[in-house]
Amino acid sequence: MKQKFKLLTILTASIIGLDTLFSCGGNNGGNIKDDLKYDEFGDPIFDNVKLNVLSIVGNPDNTYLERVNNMFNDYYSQNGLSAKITSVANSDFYTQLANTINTDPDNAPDVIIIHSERVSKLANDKIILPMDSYFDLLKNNKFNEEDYFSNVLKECKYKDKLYGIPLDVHSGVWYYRKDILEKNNIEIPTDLNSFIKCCNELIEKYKAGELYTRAMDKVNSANCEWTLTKDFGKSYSPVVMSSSGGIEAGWIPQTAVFQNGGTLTDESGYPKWNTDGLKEIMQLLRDFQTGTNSLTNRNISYEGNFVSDDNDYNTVWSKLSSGEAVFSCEGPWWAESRLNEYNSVLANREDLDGNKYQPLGILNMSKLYTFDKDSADSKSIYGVGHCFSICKTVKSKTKLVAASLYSKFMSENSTDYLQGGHLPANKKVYNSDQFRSKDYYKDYVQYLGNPEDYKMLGNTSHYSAVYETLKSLYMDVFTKSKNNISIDQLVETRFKEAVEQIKSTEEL
Amino acid sequence: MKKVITLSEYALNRSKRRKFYKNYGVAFFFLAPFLFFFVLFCLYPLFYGIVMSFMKYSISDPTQNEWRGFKNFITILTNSNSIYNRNFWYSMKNTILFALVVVPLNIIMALVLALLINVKPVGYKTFRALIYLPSVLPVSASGVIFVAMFGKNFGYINQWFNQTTDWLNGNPLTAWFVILLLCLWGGFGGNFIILSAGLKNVDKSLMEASSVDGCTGVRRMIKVVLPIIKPQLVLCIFTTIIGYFGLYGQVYVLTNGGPNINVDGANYNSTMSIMWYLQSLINGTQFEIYGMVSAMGLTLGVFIGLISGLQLFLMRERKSGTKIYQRFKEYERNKVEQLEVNKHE
Repeated sequence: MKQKFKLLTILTASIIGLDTLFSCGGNNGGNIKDDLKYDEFGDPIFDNVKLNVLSIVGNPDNTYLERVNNMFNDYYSQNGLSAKITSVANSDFYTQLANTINTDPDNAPDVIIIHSERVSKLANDKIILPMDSYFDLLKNNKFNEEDYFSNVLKECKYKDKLYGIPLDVHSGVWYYRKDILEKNNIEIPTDLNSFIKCCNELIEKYKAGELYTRAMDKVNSANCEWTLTKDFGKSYSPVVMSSSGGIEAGWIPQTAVFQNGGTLTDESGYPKWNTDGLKEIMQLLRDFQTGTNSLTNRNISYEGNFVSDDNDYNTVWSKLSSGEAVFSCEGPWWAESRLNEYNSVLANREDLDGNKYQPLGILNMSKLYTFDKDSADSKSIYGVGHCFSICKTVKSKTKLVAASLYSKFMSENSTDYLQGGHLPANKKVYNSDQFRSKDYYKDYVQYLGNPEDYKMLGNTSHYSAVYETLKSLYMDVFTKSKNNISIDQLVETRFKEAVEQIKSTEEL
Repeated sequence: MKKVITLSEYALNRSKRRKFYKNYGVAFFFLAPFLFFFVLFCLYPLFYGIVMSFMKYSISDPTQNEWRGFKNFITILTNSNSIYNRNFWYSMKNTILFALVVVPLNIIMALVLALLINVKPVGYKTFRALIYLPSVLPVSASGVIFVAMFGKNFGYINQWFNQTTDWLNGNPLTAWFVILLLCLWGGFGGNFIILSAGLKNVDKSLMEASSVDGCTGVRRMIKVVLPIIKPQLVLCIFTTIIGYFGLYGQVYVLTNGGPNINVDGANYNSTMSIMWYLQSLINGTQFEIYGMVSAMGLTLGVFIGLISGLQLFLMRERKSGTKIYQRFKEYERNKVEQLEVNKHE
């Protein structure tokens, strides 16, 4: 009897456990409650619908996103519709999202703001829902694809269905010491050749003891005075790049692929970035460190090392502020605070001739990673965008329509958000006077380029394998222990790794 | 059909039940909260993890979940074409090699300091507190201190010695060296306490007797002290080994797995420990990896289990660990008897 009881208990526990394992979540989008009603004007009626929005947008730009959200709440709260944004760090966001959706669907977000290159993966994993049909229910507020930049919108589609409403597009940018270039009569670069020329001129002047520099020092104003060639140690290298530098690893190799006519993925979502163009640019970046030209088919000379070996994430801003470097790559979301900081310390300072200089400038990556500056692809910039998607846990048609309406509203009224250093995904916003007349547009957003020139990852559900390995390739080029490995080998090893990673995942 | 029982059977059952509740009821009452949480947070996750390891398990889309039998384990153990197999064994190798270096150093440091403190020099209580102090700090805090010390551009070490060595991300050896330092600095305090307690239990008369017999210094430590504190020593060695199989925080804070190196045409994160690797797999959007990660975790668990088994096997000697002490007592008894015999004679 006791034995039977034990056996029965174990069996029951096992069945419950296994059942939990196999059925955990299981909420895949079926059984949507048809509770949608319309008023006499054909607009949906929202009766105290509260949207829970989980956002990957962090500060500083989250502050501006909140402003648009407040605008939405002001506009729709009297119609019974409101939204609350919760921001979660990138490192935790996707794991938390998947876990919440499947283990705690009642507390899962209704709308998520994610990076658009993740849409294919999340759609493939049935975390988000296609939105097309819900826009059809917004009788007076239809979604028009023509209002969006097609290159940006395409990233939000999966198997021809719309899974996200794009909010913005952005890319890493070069921050440069405009004052140092102007004071030394050196032209601001506009393409790769002029970038090389600019760096050579800076090094030449430094060697000749003719380079004027000044620091941006909030504490000791004496350092902010122009001085003729300070001693910066063993050598002068005007560009900050490294294996653990700013965020350039996530933008430069990707942009190099596009500017040389390649794409990051093929039609099946596999990586396709191992192009000759990429190899050439990676070799160029290695030459920047050695100061010798290895590209025998290119007529390049180096006056010294453009990039020194003592850079890391700490030197991205420190070398720029000390005047030791002129170019440093970071995210556009720092533009406003950095420009304010530099302007407040340096913009009103006069040199001995009574001239004032704008201290900091922003350079987008257009034409910087191709030798063929006149090619159709030369203006391409690798871009990433944010977009709104709806989670599969939303089970009410009214809420689905509300979420669609919210996404559309936020995207169409994103002008305030763009102050965070982004370009709009919506054409109407981009061309609007409201956007163009803003101070932030004139100060920095206009330098981010044209959204039409931004090229996206491509609809792939293998984001990590495609993107992260290419990022690692850039780091390899700046890793000392890999100096003896040829660029071809580095590229092919990382490419093989990306393919193996996908195949290993597919075999799971 | 209802079972008919006699009154005496009923009375017997009832008294049995009452006796059971009387004997175990209170114990169960006090144990219940612990049992509840133990089942919820230990047994259930363990069971869950074991089942997951035999599945393709996706946290994003349960419809993808399917039974895979031993395929995950076969991949880990035999399929060298799989990136999971290669990284698993690379990180296992790293972890084992690191444990082989750090454990002896950790134990020797703890033992030497415990012996020194056991002599009770002036201010030994302060020294004891200072020795244990680093162990109080969480790894994240002590890690930040070490980053400040060994940072490439702004680290104290490079600045003091006017160097530009990239300790943490340049060379795998220097990176491992800094991890080792952090592990030693913050890791031997616990062992120091255990060994100090062990040393306190060493019978003074035994020490005096060994001195009388001319056994002093290092010889006395090897022949007398170490055998007596062997149980504590074995415990320290194996708990430290098991602890370093879980090496994660130090790697995460100091190097985050780097620097990346190329070995035979494949890239590896040179300071990747097994726990760091498992954690890195479940970050991001690789939602379908959980079955494989569970299988890796379970394989690691088997390794740790084997080490624990070895420990238990060695600890069995504990019963004979007082052999020397027993022999000494016997020797004393014989001596007394001999003296008495001599007296009578």
